[in-house]
Amino acid sequence: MPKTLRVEKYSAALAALTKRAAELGVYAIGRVQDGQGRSLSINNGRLESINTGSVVGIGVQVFTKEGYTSFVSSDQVTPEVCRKLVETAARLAKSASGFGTETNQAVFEIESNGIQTLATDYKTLAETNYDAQVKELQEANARTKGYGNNLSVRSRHSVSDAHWRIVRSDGTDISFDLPTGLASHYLTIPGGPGSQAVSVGATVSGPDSSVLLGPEYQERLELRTKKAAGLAQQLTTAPKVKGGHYKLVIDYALAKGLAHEAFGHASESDGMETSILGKGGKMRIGEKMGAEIVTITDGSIQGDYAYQPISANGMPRQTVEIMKEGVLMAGLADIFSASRAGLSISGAERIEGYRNLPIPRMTNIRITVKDPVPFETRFEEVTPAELQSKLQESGFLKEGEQMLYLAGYTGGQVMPKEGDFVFNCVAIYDLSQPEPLLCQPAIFSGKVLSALNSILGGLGPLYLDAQGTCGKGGQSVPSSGGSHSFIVVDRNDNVFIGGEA
Amino acid sequence: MSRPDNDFTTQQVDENDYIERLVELIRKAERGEWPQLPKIVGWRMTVYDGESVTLSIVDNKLGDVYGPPTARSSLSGGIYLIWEDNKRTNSSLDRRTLDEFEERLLEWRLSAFDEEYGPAILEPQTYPEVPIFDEKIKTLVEGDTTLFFQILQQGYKELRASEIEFVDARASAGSQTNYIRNSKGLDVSFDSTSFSFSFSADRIYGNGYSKRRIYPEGEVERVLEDIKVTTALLKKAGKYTPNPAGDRVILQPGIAGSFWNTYVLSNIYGSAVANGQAAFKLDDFKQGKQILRSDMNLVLDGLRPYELSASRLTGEGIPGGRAALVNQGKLVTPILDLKYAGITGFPPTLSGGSFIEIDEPEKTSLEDLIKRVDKGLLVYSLLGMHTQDGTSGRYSVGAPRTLVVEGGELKGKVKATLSGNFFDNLKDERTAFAWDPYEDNPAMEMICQVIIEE
Repeated sequence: MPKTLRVEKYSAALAALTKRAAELGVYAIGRVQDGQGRSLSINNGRLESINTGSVVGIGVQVFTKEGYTSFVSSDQVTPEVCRKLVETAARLAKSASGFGTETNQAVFEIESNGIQTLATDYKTLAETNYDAQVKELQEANARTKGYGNNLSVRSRHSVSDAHWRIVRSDGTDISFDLPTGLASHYLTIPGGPGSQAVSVGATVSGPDSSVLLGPEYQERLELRTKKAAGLAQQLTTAPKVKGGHYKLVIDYALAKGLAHEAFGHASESDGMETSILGKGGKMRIGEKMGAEIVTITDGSIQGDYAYQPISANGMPRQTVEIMKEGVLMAGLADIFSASRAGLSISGAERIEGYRNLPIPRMTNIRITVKDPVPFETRFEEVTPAELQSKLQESGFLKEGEQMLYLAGYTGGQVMPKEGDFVFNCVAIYDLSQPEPLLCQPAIFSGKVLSALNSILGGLGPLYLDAQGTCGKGGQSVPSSGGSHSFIVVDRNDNVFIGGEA
Repeated sequence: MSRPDNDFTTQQVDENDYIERLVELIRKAERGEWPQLPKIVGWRMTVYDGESVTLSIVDNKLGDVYGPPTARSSLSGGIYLIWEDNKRTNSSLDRRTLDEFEERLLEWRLSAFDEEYGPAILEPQTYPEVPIFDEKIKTLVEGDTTLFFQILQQGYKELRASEIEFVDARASAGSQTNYIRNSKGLDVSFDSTSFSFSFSADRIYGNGYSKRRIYPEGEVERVLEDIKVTTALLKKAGKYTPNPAGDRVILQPGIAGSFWNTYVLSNIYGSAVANGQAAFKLDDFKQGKQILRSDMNLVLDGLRPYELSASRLTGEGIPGGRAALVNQGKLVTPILDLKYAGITGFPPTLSGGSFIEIDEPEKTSLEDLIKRVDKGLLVYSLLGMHTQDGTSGRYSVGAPRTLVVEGGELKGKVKATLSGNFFDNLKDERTAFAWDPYEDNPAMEMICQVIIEE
């Protein structure tokens, strides 16, 4: 049964907001956030902390008829405060017009999205038992300690249940929830004579406390943690890889990183004037941008860590095929920059909290390839030797050929203007050796279009739960995505592995 | 205080009243006025009531929909409770806490836990009077945005006139009242302010100002001149052939700071040290282990006037001050809150920001350091530092905005990848430091492996 959303109680305040906007002759968008969260931390068996918190507030953006705009926010959501917020915002927008600020009238061209409530039925915090969370996290922490010698383990679990309500002067009034849950272990092996300290992590994400308490998630976290622990032990003495250009195979988490950092950000409409995927401010729709086998899609998935069914401006979030079989098809566009980027509005606006301004950004982004090689072994259980063998069998790895396997994503960064990206991995395996040789991680950098044009194929089923946090515009929002279990990238002079000179 | 007509603030509740009412409610819980719950026997709380105003230029557009004039206000904080069964509660505070107090109190009890080494409430101490408030900023926050428009319009005009195609910029002012209370009688309230502006040219290079007071005369002009000169240098293509044995690389102060934060500071936090999740062990601190060259020091300093890191006290009631973390290259103390002070046996760490200090007879300027380099690189930006494993000391990072230094002069830009081990760099006799008069921390010259991406 769908949960009751706490934002229902702000109807009088929001009615006062839109009424006052109408009286002042301005268009208003109001965004109410009513969020609750809980996080637990166990450090080497000791219950380190239980933190609880809540956040309530409203952000109000107004537009004058000429398109001058301003934004105000407050942590009080009452009729009186909402009226004052609109008055303040209208005054700010009007006074700013005297300084020649930019106008944007796109909001007057959209139609109302009506009155809707989209509530999920995931567990609320009130339904989530503290004792059960503490007990399971403590047990998981203790099990993880046993996966290696001298392992230090910090285990974390967090659950957030944010409820949102977006109203607009055109009558739109949409309520929805964005529930998230995370469970993770962070493992450190101390350095010693002849070896370096190494830290690795294992995480599962989802919509509620089931990430810790549900058997399916528990099993997945366990497998990932065992794998990470094994890797950490071996990495302390692993050699370095020589820097250069290589044929690569990357796992689905790194493929998510490639899609997110190397391509997704460049497809966002607000940056099209300086994006590598834009020309003269318009997205280069119809141009070939990647290998013909490659399709890149972004869209919200219920139950996913980055779930976002409705945009921060109250528009329905579309699933967008950004690139289809190598050809650029569409961008991630919001109300305000879709038209000037030559795109249709896809409801791409997201925000960290009520105090922030919406910007277009990804939810769950994935790379799919045509005719992937079947590889039904479960991702967490694939060994580097099994992968090497499969690559040889499928013709991706030829005898005597140099190839690196990059495993585990630790984050990335992009410069959409130049099309430069970097991201990093937990470990590298040299697959040109008879037995895969584990090496220290090194930065993977390159040019967006070169990387996409170099994708040769994929292996295995789709995995879309590679979780992360996107920091665009100084706002942290959940992100996720993935690909087939593995993606093969050909050697390219514009794709580079850092390492020893 | 009366507010001007164009007051941007929206507060309806007197915040001093908020804190007093909250304290009174907690005292009721101390007296056991909720019989279904154990009594509270100790507590501390912080409440921050803040307002801010911001204006931006995004892709040449002043005050457009992605960077409009913005006014924000909110009240936030945190509370720590000790119940009579010694269970502890940690929670955030918000404006609704007062109205929903009973509901919150029940939730706080539900989330209470047995905290091994949970700290006691600290007795009031003597707190330093470090300047962190500028009345002029408070006036801006309360209503007059003219200065923001002036700064941004001046910068936009000047930068666009010097072959810069895209300008991004932001100006912001904030004012906050801080309330810190505890059950042992700590009762400190004080105001603080902040002011910042920044410009970025063609997404290549940016600079700015950020302090707790209004900028000094000439600061906008100085920042704009630096951006114009540096951006022009970074737009010229350069050529560089790395030395397989390692190259001399100068890290601009902000970049050097990023290395120190990732590899030194992150390994000094008490929780990480005590739990074996840092490169340094607790015994290393007890034994004063040498981890840096003997002329290098790392200090916490909360007493620098008008710095954003200036601090009178922490929420736990630990005074601001100055404390050595690494002295003459030797570990002195982890950074400790009350709990980890209890666990490790070291005293809690005074509150403040971290600064690198070098024992040197004379400070070398960054300009002079560059002049001394026959062949090397000067790094202005990093990609991927946040993806590095700080415990290992290893780095492999992109350096897309790097200038070639040849014969002591800055030449064109190259894109480099840097790799090495920062712990080794910090012990290396060849590592050198130099100072920019407008930066708090030094630039750093070190030898590392370089690969140039063509």
